[in-house]
Amino acid sequence: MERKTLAILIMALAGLVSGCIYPYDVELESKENMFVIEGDINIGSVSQFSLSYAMSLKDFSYSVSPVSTLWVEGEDGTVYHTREPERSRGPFTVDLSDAPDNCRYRLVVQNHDNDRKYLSQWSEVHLPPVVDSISYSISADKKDPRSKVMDMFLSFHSDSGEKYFRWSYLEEWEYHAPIQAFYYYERPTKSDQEINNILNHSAMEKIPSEVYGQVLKFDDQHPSTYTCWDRSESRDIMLATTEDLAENRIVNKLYETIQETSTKANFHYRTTITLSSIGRDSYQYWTNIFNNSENTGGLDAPVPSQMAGNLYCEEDPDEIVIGYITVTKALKYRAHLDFSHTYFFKYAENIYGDSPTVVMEDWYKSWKAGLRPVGIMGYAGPTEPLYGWAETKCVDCSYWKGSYKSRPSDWPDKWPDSEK
Amino acid sequence: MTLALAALFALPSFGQSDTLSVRRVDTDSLVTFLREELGAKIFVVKDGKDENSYTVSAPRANFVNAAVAQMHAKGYNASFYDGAWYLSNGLELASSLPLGYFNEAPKTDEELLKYVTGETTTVEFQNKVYEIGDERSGKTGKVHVHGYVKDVSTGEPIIGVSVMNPKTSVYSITDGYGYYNLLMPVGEGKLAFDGYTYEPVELNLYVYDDGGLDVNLKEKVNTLKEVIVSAESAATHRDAKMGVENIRISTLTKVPVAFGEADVLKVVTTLPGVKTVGEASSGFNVRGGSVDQNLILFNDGTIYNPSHLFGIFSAFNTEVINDVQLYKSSIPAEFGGRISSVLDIRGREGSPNKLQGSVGLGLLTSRFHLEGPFKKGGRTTFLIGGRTTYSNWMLKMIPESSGYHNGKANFYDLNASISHHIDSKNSIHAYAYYSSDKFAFSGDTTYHYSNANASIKWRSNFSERHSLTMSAGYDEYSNRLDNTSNANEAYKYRTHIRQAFWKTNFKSVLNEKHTLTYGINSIFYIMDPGSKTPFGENSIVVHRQLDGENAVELGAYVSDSHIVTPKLSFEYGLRLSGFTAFESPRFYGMPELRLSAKYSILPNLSVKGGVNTMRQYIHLVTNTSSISPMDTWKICDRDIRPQDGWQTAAGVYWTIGDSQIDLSLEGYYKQTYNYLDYKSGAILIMNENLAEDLVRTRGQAYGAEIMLKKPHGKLNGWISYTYSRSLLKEMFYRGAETINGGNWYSAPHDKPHDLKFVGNYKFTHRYSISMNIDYSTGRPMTVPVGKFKYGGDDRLAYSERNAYRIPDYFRMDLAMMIEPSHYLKSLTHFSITFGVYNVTARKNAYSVYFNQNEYGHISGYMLSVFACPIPYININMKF
Repeated sequence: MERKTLAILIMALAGLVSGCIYPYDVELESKENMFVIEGDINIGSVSQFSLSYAMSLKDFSYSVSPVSTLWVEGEDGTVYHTREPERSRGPFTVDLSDAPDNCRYRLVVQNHDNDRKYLSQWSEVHLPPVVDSISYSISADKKDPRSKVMDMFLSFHSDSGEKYFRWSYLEEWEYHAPIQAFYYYERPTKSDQEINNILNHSAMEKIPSEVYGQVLKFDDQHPSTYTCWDRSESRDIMLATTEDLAENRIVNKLYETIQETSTKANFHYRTTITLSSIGRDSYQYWTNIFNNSENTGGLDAPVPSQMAGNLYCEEDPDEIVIGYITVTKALKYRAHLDFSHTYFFKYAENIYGDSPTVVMEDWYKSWKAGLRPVGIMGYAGPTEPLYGWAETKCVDCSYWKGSYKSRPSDWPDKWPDSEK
Repeated sequence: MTLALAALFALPSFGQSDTLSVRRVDTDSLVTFLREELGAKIFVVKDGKDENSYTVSAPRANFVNAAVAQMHAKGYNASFYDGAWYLSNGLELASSLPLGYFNEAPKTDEELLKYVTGETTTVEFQNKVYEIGDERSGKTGKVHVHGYVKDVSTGEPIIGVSVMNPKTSVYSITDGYGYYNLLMPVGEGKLAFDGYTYEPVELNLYVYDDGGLDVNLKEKVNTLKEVIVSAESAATHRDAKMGVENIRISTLTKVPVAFGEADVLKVVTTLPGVKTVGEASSGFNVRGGSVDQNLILFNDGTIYNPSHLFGIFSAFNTEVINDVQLYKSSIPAEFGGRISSVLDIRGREGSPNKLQGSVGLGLLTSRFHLEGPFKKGGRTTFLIGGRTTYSNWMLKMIPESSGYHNGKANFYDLNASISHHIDSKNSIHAYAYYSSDKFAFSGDTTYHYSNANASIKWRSNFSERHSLTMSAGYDEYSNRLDNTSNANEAYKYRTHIRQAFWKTNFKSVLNEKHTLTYGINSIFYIMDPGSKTPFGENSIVVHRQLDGENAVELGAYVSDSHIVTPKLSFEYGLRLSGFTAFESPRFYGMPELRLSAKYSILPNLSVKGGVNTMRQYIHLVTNTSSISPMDTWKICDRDIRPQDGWQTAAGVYWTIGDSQIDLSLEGYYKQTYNYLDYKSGAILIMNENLAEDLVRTRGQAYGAEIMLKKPHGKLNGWISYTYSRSLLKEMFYRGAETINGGNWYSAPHDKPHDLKFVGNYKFTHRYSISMNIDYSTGRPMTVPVGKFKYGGDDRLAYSERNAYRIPDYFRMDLAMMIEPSHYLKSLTHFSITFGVYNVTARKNAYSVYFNQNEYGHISGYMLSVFACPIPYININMKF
């Protein structure tokens, strides 16, 4: 009786606090003609802008950008044109390396498709903050205390009185397969069907060598499968403000959580933060986009609403234009972290098992079964090495998802001192 | 269970002329002297502490009168009846038998039970003539008959009982204290007491002079236990007020609610014209009004957040509540400050007879109450009650993977009241109430809010024609948010609303056609709009405090209940309200009109109409669908103007077949001005320039409500259908940012169709079942209508505000009630309620939202708070 009552209690409370979430399919009207202008006027470097239209929720690819001419105007009368030719679809780049800080700027877009001109409000330059550190800490996962997570923190401050900030980041990392293999298997040149025919019609003791394939050492043409690199650009909107803080600095702002099974935490990790000071209005605009996209549905979540940015159409001021053009000097900050000694990373699958030795006759079969050669474990004859084989996931880092062997061009040979 | 005729103070004459004197004698000696020397018939009941001393000197003819007057002056209640004096010290003496007892009062609990349940021979009230006033008064014309109408079993005052003189059709409706005052012609007469769920009583009177008549009514057998909402059909056909719903707390347990605890607000939402935006949401919406447009009073104190745990429970312990009245159309002039409705909740007085109480155990909550006199038979009683939840330890039992394992959800509320009856005409009541909520569904953010109220009230029927109620009190609503997600930015955010109020209300019966209600009330606001302070040693959050706001709101009102003819009556009311904000000096004032009229085509068929204008000086600023504890209350200032509203309504009321079925149809149209909506991207907390993020809107609401109610019989309940709309429109065009281009748009609570059914079936006195059905159109929502690439990902472009709706809502609940014990002499009485909430397991949408899934597609999701049937059991014990 007690247990039964308890079950009812738990069920009831579970219903109370967690509720249930179900898919909801509804036919929605589409509003696809809203013009979207994205990019910041980034003084002191090259700015990038892209133009698009909002699209239907059901579409999977974005419509072609309108043919436009785009430029940045300084209030001092200077016009900064795009590197791209006039009347192009973008994305556009504008070199503002020499643009002075003490000037107000705006973006002008002449959309040739609808023959309308779009302008941003004149804005002063927001000066960049200074990054103090990027750090991480490892702790139990709140949702599953048996697992661990690595939280990444960003600390920065502003000496110029800026109070609103936005940043994005690029992550790049090197990771390794569980076992370093020195050899790879090259299958016979024959097709699978031909090989199977030969195997099926041969006596077991006389399998012809033409269907053995080859085990070869990695070389420049066939680089090792031990090391991989991967990269990821942030997609979340990251904002911070010091409006209510006694000091104009943000300390240990959590911006990324890495699961223990993520290859990001396997070995070397590099992150490049692009940090900008923005204005209060821009901060509100980005907060609104964040709330509309990522903070909906809760019991007390704000009702989503479309907020106007600082762009307007000259011909029709009532036209809704999506985008907020901030005039800023972005700071790029790169940090190198070495996770190889954290003992945090865990492969997402079991990697423990036998590494059987395989004779030449069985190479092809083993390869087909998902095994890969690792190294010489002995010799079956005077000239016949006996290779140990292991599952693909143990020797091939690309199994764990990543851009196989595409080492970033500026990836350092000697890893810089890590921040912690 | 007494029927007390008021003491008659006309003194008898003994017809002798010499002077008599007694000096420094005690009570016993004086009484002996009166009996033996003067032959007076005098009966005295005195308590043991009587140390009175008397010196009386008077002509023999008046000596008894003088002695009795002196005894009365020293604390004795004196009654003269049938040639004899009855004096008692401490106890009020009834000079006739209790109503329904006649020759012999029941002496045992079994007999009382039989009486209450009507199993004994029905008493013929008409057989006795009750004399009112002193027969020697020699009065002619009309005199006042007044008194209290109470429930025979609980002693609680009954509101809304029609007390009528059938000959003249002059009537009075009992007020919130069960009090009535009626002009009756001297001589023979009758007085009919008609309460919807009570046995009608018609008393034969002989009226000599002004006098009191308290009556205890018993509920109708087989019906009263099931009926929850009583519009008092007799009163409906007599009173010009419309849109008044009276809810009897004693029977709330019959309406199935989630987790089984009887809940005032949940029952309120089963009434036509009352809606909520979702089943786990605080507050309610009345006739298209927003949540903040309802004035919720508990013992005259204002309750700003009437809910626990996001609205899953109401913040009121039903064990300590006597009566609830909801005014959704004709709002009496004594109420002001909100433009949509008034929910007036009145607490009970402690029992004057004995110490008693109750304990209730539910799935998530427990409650208790204890009441009684401080001294048996004394004039001072107390009542305390409490309620709490044990959801905290239950949250610990939820699997860790749910993410709520470390959550906390705790609430409690406490009530206390003391009542002291100074004499038969004066009483003082003190009330205290505190409710607290604290919850944290994630480890780093904790919410806390609380209501606190304390009030004292003096009620006096200081003359036959006039009564006074004066109350003063203090209300506080505070909320707090602790955020520790980042030690360096950890903060505490707090707001407070503090208000002191004073209300004086007079009621005067001018003549049989006019009853005036008039008075003054005032509220002094001390608002703390917000403060943000660092939390913890490492926090570098700077202390920031928004400027406090103080203001005073005054209201003076007068209303007249005018009975033109028995068929035609009016209620006229005028309220002058004024508001002054001190910090940004600005005065707002406006006369408010309250007018309603009734015409009875037939005794059981009436039509009514009315117009109200209202004004509200405080706003709730929110940008969430459901009211959040962190929403901001803002009083008017130089930039934020009061909300104004007017409503006109008309209705037809038909009682069919000997009061078996009540059919009503009401329609209304209302307009509001200066309701605050928010701009897109508005910041609503800690905003020094809040007005800049808000927009003023004009609102219109209209609808029709039809209700069929069967209060009697084994099967009883009601079914209602409401069609209503509630629309808003920005008052000033702001270009492209104007909400929905300056066109009308649906208010967040605009749910056009609403069908409700509450039914009870009583198999026997022990077993009954209840069913509750609720259907409504889904509430409006704002949905994405496009997506665009921005900031590295797909973002959503939204429709016009509230242009779509969440799916329609449907829910059916079942409950069964068992009351095993009906023996009154038992020390304890148990009742068990068990049932299932959301029997059909319909996945009602609380909210709908859209997110990008792992494949990059934008998908819709529906959050359902109670997506499965929720069984519950509630055990109640009374002692």
